Amino acid sequence: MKRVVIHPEAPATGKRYWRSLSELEGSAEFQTKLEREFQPGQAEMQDDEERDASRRSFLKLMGASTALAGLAACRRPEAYIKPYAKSPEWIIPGKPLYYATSMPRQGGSTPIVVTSFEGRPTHLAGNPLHPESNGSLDVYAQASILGLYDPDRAKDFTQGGKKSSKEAFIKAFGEKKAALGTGKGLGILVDDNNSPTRARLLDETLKKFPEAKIYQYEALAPSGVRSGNEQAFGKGVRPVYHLEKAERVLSLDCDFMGLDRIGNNATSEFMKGRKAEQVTDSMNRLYMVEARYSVTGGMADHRLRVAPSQILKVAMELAKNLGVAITKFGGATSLEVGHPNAEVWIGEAAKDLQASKGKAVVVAGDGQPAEVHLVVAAINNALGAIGTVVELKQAESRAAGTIAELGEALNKKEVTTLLAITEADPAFDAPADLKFAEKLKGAELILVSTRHRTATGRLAAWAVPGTHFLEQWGDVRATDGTYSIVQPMILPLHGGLSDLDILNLMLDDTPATSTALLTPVSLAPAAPGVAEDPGPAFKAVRATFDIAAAAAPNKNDAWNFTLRDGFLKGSAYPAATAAFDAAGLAKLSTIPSLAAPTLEKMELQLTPCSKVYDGRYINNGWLQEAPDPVSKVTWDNCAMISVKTARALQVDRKYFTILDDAAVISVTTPAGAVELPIVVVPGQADNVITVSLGYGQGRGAEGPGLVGDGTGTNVFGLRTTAQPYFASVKAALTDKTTTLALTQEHSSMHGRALVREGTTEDWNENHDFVLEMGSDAHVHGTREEKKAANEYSFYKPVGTKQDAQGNAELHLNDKLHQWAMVIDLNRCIGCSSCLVACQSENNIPIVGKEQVIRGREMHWIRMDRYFATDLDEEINPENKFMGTGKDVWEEDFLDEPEMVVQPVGCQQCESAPCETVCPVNATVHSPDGLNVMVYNRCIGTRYCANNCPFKARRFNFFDYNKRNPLVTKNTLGFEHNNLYDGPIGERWDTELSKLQKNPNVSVRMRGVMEKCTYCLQRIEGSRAEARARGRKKAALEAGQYDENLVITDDQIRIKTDSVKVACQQACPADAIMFGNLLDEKSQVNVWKKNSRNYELLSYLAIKTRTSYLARIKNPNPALLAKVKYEKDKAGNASKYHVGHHQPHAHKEGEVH
Amino acid sequence: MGGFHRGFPVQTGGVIFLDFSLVKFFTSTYYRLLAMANIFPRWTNSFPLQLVIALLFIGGGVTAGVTYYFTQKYTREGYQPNQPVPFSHVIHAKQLGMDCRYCHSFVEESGHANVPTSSTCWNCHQHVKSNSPNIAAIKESVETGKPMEWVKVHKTPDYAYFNHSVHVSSGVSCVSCHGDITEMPVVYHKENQSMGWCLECHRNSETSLRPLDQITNLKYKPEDHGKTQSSIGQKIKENWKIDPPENCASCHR
Repeated sequence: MKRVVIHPEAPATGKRYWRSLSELEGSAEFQTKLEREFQPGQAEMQDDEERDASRRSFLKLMGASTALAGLAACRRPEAYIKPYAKSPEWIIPGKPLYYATSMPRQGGSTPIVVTSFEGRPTHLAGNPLHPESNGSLDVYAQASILGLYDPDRAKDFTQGGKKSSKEAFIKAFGEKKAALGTGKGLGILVDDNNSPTRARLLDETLKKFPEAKIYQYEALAPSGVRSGNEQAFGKGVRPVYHLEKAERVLSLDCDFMGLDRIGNNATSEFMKGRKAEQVTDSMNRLYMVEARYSVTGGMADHRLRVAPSQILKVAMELAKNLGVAITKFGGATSLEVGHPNAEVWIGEAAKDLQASKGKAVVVAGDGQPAEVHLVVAAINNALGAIGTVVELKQAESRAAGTIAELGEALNKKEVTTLLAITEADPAFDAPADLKFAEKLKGAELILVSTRHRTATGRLAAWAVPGTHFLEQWGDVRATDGTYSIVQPMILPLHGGLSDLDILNLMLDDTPATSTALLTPVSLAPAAPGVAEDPGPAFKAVRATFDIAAAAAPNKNDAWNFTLRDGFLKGSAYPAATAAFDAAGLAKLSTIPSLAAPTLEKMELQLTPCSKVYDGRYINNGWLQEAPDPVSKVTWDNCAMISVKTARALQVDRKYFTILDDAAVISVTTPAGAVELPIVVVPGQADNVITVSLGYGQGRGAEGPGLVGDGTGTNVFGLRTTAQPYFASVKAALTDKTTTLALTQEHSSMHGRALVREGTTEDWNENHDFVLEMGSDAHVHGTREEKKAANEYSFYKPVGTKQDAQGNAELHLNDKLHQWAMVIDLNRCIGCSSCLVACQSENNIPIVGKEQVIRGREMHWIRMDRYFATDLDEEINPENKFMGTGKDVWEEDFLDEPEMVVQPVGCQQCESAPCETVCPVNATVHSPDGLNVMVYNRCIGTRYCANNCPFKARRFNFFDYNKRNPLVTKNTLGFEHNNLYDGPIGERWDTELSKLQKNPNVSVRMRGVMEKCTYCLQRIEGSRAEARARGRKKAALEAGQYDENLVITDDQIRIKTDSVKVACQQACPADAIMFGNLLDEKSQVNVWKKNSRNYELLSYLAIKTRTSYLARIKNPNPALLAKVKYEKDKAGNASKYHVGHHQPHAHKEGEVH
Repeated sequence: MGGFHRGFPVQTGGVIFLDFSLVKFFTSTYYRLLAMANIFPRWTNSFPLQLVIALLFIGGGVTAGVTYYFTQKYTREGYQPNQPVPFSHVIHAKQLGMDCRYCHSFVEESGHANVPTSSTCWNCHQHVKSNSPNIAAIKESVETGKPMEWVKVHKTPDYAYFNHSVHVSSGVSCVSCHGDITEMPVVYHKENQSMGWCLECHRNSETSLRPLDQITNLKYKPEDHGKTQSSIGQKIKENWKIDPPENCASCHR
């Protein structure tokens, strides 16, 4: 029987959620996309070129398989089992080990737990024991494991670009050192992380070479934050934020949940304050002042769009409102920040902050100058946040030169030998006005880095392969100063040297260190009584540890605990005694006031990149392919501009939405000019162009390597020492276009309200407000009645299996486990960490820019980003878009949309539509409620994907895991991607890349459908373990091994919430909960009972196992009313009157 | 022959669509031949021979395929490779009575039943027959730290995940899958270990279940203890909550 499901229309009031401007507009292209279910290339071959290529490759394939047919008939090759000669401690073949370590980061560290299979690190997770971690990782840390196996990593010791050897380098280094004398002419450049051992060795180096100079540099080091805090609190004082204690947070251009690292754990702490388990929970409120839409801005309850240069004015206005004695800034008479509501907005926000005195805090972004941070310190002081939300810690303060000072020293030949132990690439990313690359040519550069294919690497006299943090001994202090250990998981894959190795070489004049570094690691057991030499770096770390753990009664015990836990307990920085010093505020009056940007004088905002950070991750395919949280661009950077700005620049309408081509603008500053593809982002401040740094590192031999080859545009050339994050620019439209790979319209879902949100007020009024939205609004009644309406099933209620009594069993017949997931939209920020964690755990390949354009990205979980606009505004008769056919682009409501994100993977429907259409039963249901994919059965019909209402299935069009999708080939003048070469194409499944793969997950091949499995390997692993251990334990306890032993269900059930799926583990906001529905103690049941719980497309009666908790916004009613009032004053009277149009049940009480 | 290549199936991303032009070509040729006076053109003289040769090739392929994929050659039943060291399970496990788990020590802990490290062998052999030429390779491995290369006998396909620990902890003996290893001077592949063979036991697990203290006793017979397999099997299954999964996901992922 054919059942036709009538898709209910979405309600005509409330909010409209849209992913892209063309969706909002309902453009013809977008409609085509929707009706096609998939993008043209997503489910079938696309164009003639591809079809040609496929025909050709088919012929090749036929030829090759005929040739191989002979081979296949031979006896299969012998395989070998190679056991260890001597068992390493703890290793059980087939079981992973977990080690605690840390990833050194700019300004701090990220605590990590490494999953290691037989000494082979495969997956990273956070370290929940660490005081600075909730067990999650951000996207960079999550993807950093791929850097370990990067095929383009530095491998060889090179001298002047020619391959040399470790021996030759160590010999040359020894000679160089001897010639240095007191160190005249020596400069040492290090990264901006905070390693106590490195600091100690550098101090010793300075003792040995008193005339040497130390410089510290990373392109994105927050110099403004440091100098602002120093002025406010004194030297070395570091504010540590405890956002969980804040009821009101106001962020001044600080993307603290995304790119600005105010602490490793900021997202999780903020979310603790945003708890919404019950209606009675009091949620925090976030105010955001920013130019570009950031993930933090997306979470904000109120957002003010102003240019980055105007933040100082906003900060001072805020300070004034909070009663901080502050001289009017630059003699300005009015607050002109380029936004009509700014003054009211700031006034109301200030009142709200004031009302929560002691529990309110203001944070400012890394890109803001020292003055802003000084004002913010004054505000926090006035708000009583210092000592409560903000803890002042006294860090040690070390003198180190800046990059500008280094440039000067190089210029004056004060530094003639530069030892650069750094992951940064100063020749590429130093401020343009320094012309650093030129200056560097005058000195002898010894570079120690894992990245040699960089501008700096090409200038190096000696390039030494550095070690990845997973290959080295080291230590690092977290933001709050906790001493954290960096321990090696694997020997250096390419025999490189770590920073500590080099410094040890520097310090040790005896041959001991060089001998130790040159002695290859022996497999043979050490002679009895001879201790193995752990190497110089280990000894140095251990010596530092003994100083750090001076208070510990037994240092060996403390050391062992540190190795186990990853950090030394109680080693955070001491509290600072300093108080706020208002002296600096007086200077502010002398600073000239910057005008808000205009069309003629636009503002360029430079931000860290959500993918490549400062450029160091350009060769990381996972990060490159993870879409930017807001623009959804992959493999590129772009210029983000607002709708109004795009219109003013006379960008053609068709480029407002990116289908394939993007318009290109030229951006000119005194420092230089670049051309950038634009992406129109609603919610961006007008006349501000936001571009991320790090891309554009060249191509071919001058490029960064295979993955980053030729990607993006370099904007470091526009960055100067004086204006590192924003500057005035001239922008103009060019007649060029370029292709961008955007995922924003992929897997669109007919505009059905999948994402649901309300305000605290909505929730208070109707606890089940979430069921009055979207398709659920059409069924009337209580939650139970609504649920009952969707209880019909496409399946027969019983399965074919019979139980012991001969009764037919339900198809979900596992009585111990029924798995389910809940995703809390109130917490999800859209950072994409889950997506990369999933990729790492499940051996998901990258597909390259060309394939992403065709809609073939393989991510099992996708991050949908919606903009939300008020339907009430759209349908207002005075609003001409709906009434008189005025162009949607000219509408004001596009300026201030809200942003909502929603991760969507396979929803694990109990009555899964995909299963009914598979002709070969390759997708079936498991008794514990998973919709499973059987790869070895799949023949690639893709019927399942066509029938999936969530578009959650991904098809392997090519052997992405095996064939390199990043190579373009030219055969007889026919340019094509390597993938189309089929079996004769270039491979990239090298021994190196295979090391990262999770051995418990099949590496899927061409022609196979795949999708989220709820991390089946983790569930099955736990199930086997629970049964094996449970039965054995029961037998041992009972002392009975025969048939009379009785084992209970509880003895073999998986322990409550002990299975964590990869995305859940990675989530910095703890937005994902996974667990067993049959286990009453499981948190997933608590979450499912939350009244915000709803299922996607419930009217289809598919009974999804994944459900969502609606997002709750906590707006300030006073500000809402005022902002509307201001709009009225601007001449739009009567436009926003309450109840002006359609009656609207659950919104009636809302203040308009 | 212009455009003849169009007769090949055109592969479009995993689904093969037959191009009907080949069918059209033959049909039209057929009708053209009928219409012509000289019915058979010259090339038809060799056509029967071509046909026979083609059929031979196809038949040969099918035979080879069936021989390989449907017989023991595919399942490796009886596979008995030479090992680098002539290790005899008969001497160690039968005559000396060593427990399986002395060497395969993690079989109860891990999915893999590990092959012993060289140093495990050396625990005893440093005292016994340490200079025997038969174990020179082990000695060398212990001294140099280079691993032994044992030839793999039992191999699970890449897409199947077998877990030893859960089987041996649920009353399934080694003998059920590997045969009586204690009688094998050189280990060979006893059972065919195909998926059908796995499922046979998963559907009738009572035929293989035994007390937990008899798992590594490969000679165990319930009759020796005054019981029968059918009497203990069903009881174990019920009392121990043995519910062998038959769904795909328990092995394939």
